[in-house]
Amino acid sequence: MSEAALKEDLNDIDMELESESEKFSYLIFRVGDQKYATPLVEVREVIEYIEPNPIPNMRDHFMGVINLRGEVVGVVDLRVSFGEQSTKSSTMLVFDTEAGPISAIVDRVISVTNIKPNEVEKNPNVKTKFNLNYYKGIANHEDEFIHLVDLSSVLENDDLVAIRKAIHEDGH
Amino acid sequence: MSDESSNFDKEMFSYFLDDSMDGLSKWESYCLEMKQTHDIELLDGIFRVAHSLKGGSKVLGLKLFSEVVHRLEDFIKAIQEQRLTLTDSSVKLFLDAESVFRDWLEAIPDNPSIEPPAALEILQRVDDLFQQTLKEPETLGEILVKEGDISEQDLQQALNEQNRKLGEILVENNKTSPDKIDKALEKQKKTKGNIIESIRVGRDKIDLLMDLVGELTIANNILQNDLGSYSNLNYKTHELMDQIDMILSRVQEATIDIRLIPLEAMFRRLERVAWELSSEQNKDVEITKIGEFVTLDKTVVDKVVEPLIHIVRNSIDHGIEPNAVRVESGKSEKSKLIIEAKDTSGNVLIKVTDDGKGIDPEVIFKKATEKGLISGNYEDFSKEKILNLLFAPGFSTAEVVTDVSGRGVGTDIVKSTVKSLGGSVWIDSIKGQGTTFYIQLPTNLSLIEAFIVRTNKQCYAVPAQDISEVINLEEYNIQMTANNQKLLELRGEKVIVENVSDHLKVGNVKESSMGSRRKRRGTPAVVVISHNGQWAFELEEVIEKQTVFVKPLGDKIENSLGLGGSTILANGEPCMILQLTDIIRRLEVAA
Repeated sequence: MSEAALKEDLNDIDMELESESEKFSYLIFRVGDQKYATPLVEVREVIEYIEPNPIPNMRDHFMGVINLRGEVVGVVDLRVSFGEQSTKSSTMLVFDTEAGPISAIVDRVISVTNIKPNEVEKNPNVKTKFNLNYYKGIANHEDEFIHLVDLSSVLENDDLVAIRKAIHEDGH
Repeated sequence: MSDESSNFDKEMFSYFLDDSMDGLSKWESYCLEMKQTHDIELLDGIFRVAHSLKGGSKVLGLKLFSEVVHRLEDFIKAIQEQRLTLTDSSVKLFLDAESVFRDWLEAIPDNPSIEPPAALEILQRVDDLFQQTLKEPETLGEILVKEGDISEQDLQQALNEQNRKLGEILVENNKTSPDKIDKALEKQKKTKGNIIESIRVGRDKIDLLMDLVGELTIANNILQNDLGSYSNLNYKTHELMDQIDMILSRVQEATIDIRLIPLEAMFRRLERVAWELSSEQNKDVEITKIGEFVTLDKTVVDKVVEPLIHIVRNSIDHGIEPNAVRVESGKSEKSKLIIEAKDTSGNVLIKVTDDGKGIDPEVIFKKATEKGLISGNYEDFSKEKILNLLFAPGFSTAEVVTDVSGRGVGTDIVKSTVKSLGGSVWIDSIKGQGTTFYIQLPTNLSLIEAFIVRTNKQCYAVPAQDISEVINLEEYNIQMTANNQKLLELRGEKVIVENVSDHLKVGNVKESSMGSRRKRRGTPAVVVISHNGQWAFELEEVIEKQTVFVKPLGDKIENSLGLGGSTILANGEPCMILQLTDIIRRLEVAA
């Protein structure tokens, strides 16, 4: 086997390993006193808090929009969604969803960790505010409980509008 | 079978598909022209398209497809060689075949061996027509020849005399000169073969370009705003900034222009819908198209096609009376449908006019009263206001439809589609004489003129086309009505006064840094004319008028009352596009 071919093979193996670990890579963040994990691949970026400009006629947990390098991005405050206290310093996770870019305010980003499927309890007996389609279970990771959520889908399917256009109310 | 589909060359097919779709568009336009003129020469064009369809499909192994095309080719040839006569049903067959081919081609990537029933039906119809048209009664000349009354030669001579070209006859009768005819023919050729070299570009590339131009516009606005306040910039820098500004506005125009397409193809589709429906109903309709080279943003065209088809169908189906009824009421048997587009600055106005039975406002009024959409005396409302109740949601239910010539069906959908494109729609009708539908649309969706306004400490961009004027409320005498509505009188017209902030519920308040923030003298309001009246919306401040680049926000946010897209202001703040017409609509529904 030539050296080049060998290198290529090794590269392939590397790539495989990478995508394999990517599958289990989660971004761990905190909202209130709970820890949550969301698949890292779905997170477009983590940014420092930018104060949103409010948008009228939206639900309480929708804080408005920010200008993210020329892009208008909606902001959801997960602390309000989860019924937690809003503290001052915070971070935003940005997701590209089918419904456009949306960012979520969380209290803190903790780490990126691999969580193996065998660490996850799929149907835990806990109350959750999430739609069960997006709640993937609870992980017992390094002696800590972490809620696994598909945050991107949660945001994508979140109903944000409080007062709808007349047409959508009466038209159909 | 599975072998066949796995061997199917998708890449080659996509080339074939592109070419075929182009070809079929030409095919369609030839057919529509042929339908009017019965000009057999147009068959040459159709034949060419058929020929390349046949070749391409054969290479790709689409057996049935090439077979159907081949059969049509034979049929066309037979007409060209005058073995068959060109009838309305053959033109209809060509048109139907065109849509069958389109659907078929679109289905092929998923299933190359698909055999659509419609295709087999086309084959059957070709065969039937071969029979029928052969059986058509002989011409007078042929009978005379057969009976031995005249010779073949006599007939040919007579036919030659009859069959002369228009130009020759006109010249002979001294109506014009040969070179004028030549010139006209030249001109005709030019318009027939008017080909501009073009490159096929993916929609996503153009959208990306448009996006980038938008970002550049915003970045430039911010730069001009920031640097403009530095007085110690040298002269050269200032000049350069002006230059960038100027070039950018040309780039904006050029980019918008890429997305503009002529309405020609859409008009053709409308004409076809009208023609098909009217022949189905045995109505003799003359269809006129005006302004088919007016251009509109492709996105707008794509979205407005369905509403327009709806309107055209309505006109033919319910507006235009059956031939017998027309004659009875003293109208000409042949009815008229005019599809017209007009370019007004920044807007395109599309009109669909029929000379049918029109709409009776009294019937509409009665129905609207029953539905609780309106209350009061018939005499108190303008005809315009009553007619446009047809667009009110909830009006378009089946029971109204049959009574009021079906005009209710889905008209609220027409309105909502047009609204979502930033346009407006209204109707005018004279009972017994006909109806006109008007649709006004913005030429482009991306860059609009807007007033930047402040209310409730927030900035919003209000499209300039929505606003008829800006007034100072303090100069008017505002009255309270019994139901707590504020009214003012503007040049003799009643104007309802509303405070915008009452309709924009904001939870947390972050003050915008735009505008003066100081209390100014006067209370500004923008006046918006709706089809049912005038409204004045009170604001904190009208800051400036500028060109803004509209960024869609997705239905998730835009479904909220009063919002339509966003933009970024010169200070870098994100800002919502405020649709006051949306708020008016809600108020009208509530009233």
